[in-house]
Amino acid sequence: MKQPGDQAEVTVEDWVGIVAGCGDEAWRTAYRLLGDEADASDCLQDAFAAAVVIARRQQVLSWRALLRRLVTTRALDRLRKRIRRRTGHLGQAAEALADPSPGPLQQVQLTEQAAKLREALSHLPSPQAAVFCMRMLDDLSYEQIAEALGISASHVGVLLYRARGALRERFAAGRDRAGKMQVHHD
Amino acid sequence: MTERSRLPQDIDEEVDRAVQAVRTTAGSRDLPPHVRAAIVAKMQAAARRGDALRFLDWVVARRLRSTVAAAASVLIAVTAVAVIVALLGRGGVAFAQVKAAIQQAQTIQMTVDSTVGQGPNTVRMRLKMRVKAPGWVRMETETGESVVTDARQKMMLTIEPDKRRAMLIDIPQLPDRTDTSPRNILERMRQVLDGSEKRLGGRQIDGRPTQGFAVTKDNCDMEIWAEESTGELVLIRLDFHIPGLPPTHMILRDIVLNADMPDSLFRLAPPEGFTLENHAKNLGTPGEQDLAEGLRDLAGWNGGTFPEQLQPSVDMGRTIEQSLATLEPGLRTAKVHRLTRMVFFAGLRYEQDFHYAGGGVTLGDASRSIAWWKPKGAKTYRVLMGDLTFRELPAGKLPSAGAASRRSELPQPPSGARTDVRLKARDRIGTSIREAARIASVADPTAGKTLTVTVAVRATQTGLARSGLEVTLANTGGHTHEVTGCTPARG
Repeated sequence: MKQPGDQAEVTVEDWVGIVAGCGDEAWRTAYRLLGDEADASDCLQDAFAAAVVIARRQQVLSWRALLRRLVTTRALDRLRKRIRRRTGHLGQAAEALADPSPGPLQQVQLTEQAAKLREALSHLPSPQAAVFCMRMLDDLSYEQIAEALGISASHVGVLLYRARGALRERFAAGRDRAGKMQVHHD
Repeated sequence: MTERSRLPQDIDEEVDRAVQAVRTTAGSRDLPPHVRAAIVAKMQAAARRGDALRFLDWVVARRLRSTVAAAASVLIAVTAVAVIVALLGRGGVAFAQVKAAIQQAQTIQMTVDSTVGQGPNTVRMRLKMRVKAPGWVRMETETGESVVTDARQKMMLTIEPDKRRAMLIDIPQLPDRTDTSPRNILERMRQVLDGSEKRLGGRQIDGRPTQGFAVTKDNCDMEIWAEESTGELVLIRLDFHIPGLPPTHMILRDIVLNADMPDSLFRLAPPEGFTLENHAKNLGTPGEQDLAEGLRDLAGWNGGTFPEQLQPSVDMGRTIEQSLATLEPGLRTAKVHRLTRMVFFAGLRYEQDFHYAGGGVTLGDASRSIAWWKPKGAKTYRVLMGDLTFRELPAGKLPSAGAASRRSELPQPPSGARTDVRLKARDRIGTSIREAARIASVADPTAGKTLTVTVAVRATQTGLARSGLEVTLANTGGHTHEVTGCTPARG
């Protein structure tokens, strides 16, 4: 795989090596966030193509870090657009319904919970959402996240703390809405 | 009561369960092969797009190379066709029909794989080139960018679909020989026949048995491969070394004569919905003062010394852009136009034996020549000095274009034999230039001693500075010692 600090002239063979080295991790990141193979595929293509453009303008010190940032931010962008296309408080339910795979009850519950998190993430500010995904979904260390996003490790901690707080608020608000709807129908 | 404590105590657990749900449903999947292939394809397309845009940037956007590239593109087409006609004319009876077809052809179409520049500044691209008499050329990249050149009107149009923008530029003083009519091609054919030609033998290309020829003419080395039985052109390889342009290598394939090409392909008008930037008639006619003042600017951007080549490298281009960005718009435009005229001035003097040798020379050094050329009909060379004054010099007083040296040991001669050293130097395709070489020093060629031979190359000898030297040493004892791989050194 192309080494850090290499000059911007990257050959086709280098790109194949970069995809081989970073592709699996990038795929898992995109798929976790988007939950859809077609969306994840499009996301990865965009992210890697963007890496090509960046590599022509500047030296890339770490392809893995660059691709982590590009894939995560693009996946979150796609997630936001997808959820905005589905209306209001139904967004979360629509996310769950979007999963076409029927399955046992446990699978359905998992799918609903996953959809709930995705919907909540789509409402977070981008830096918080990116840090949360990298830490909680991709198991990256603070240092790895800092390298990918170009921030300090302490800033990663701050963003993570805020992200969790915001998610708690959204989940709690979701419970309140569910409770009121239930009361209404009783 | 803290903010967190007002929330249900199990909310954290709910968030964690949701995180686990995402990880579980996504699983530990590896990148599917079909997605991997799609990613690589998209990256390749992005890379080609980057090359195409860099090509346009190189050709037009910064106004530093556009006019010379336009001239080169038309001359490439005309020269290639003229060589084809000339060489096929020397073939057998079967070629007569092909030759006639070429002479009557009104259009030529080909795929061009080109490499421009060297090292980190290399730009590779694939173009479709279409040529139509009289004097129209259209080049298209794989990603849709186009350049249309009209040699008669001396204008060029670039089209960038991604920006929905077109740019119109005038290219004054484009040579009249860019007329691509058959009559002009025949005239070119007579000139090409004066070039030195070498047969390359037979070779299979794309499964077709071909015969090859090599020709050098006007700063261009050419290889033409034609199918043995039909005379059809299979592949043409062109290496250009035009002053003011970076080294350019092209491979032409899929050559088709008389393909249908509507005139609308060559109109100098943008597609509907595109914005047009019209820079026509505001570039001005290039003169030698543009060369001088353009070099003054380049030296200023290069820390007080003239750059290695007139064509700015990518790094130097960035320095220039940053500097230009600090200027007010009128001055910025004036400087860009002057640089464009400078490159154009140099580039169109390739038939006047133009040379640039200012690399490393300090601005203001009146003792050094940095550029020279022989105006049409003149007996002496016009020379630009390091202090940006002009002089007239005869060929014999011109500085060396470079020197090649090689240290090498001669083989053991027979005992008691006297050895003399003869020196032959040839350029890359075998043209002898012995008469132009001057041995600067020869040590005692006794066996075991190191012989140093310095070959000083006269400035008027084209081809050497770009091709390097092959130096053959021979002693009268019958032993020969080839020293190959000489490259011009700064001298």
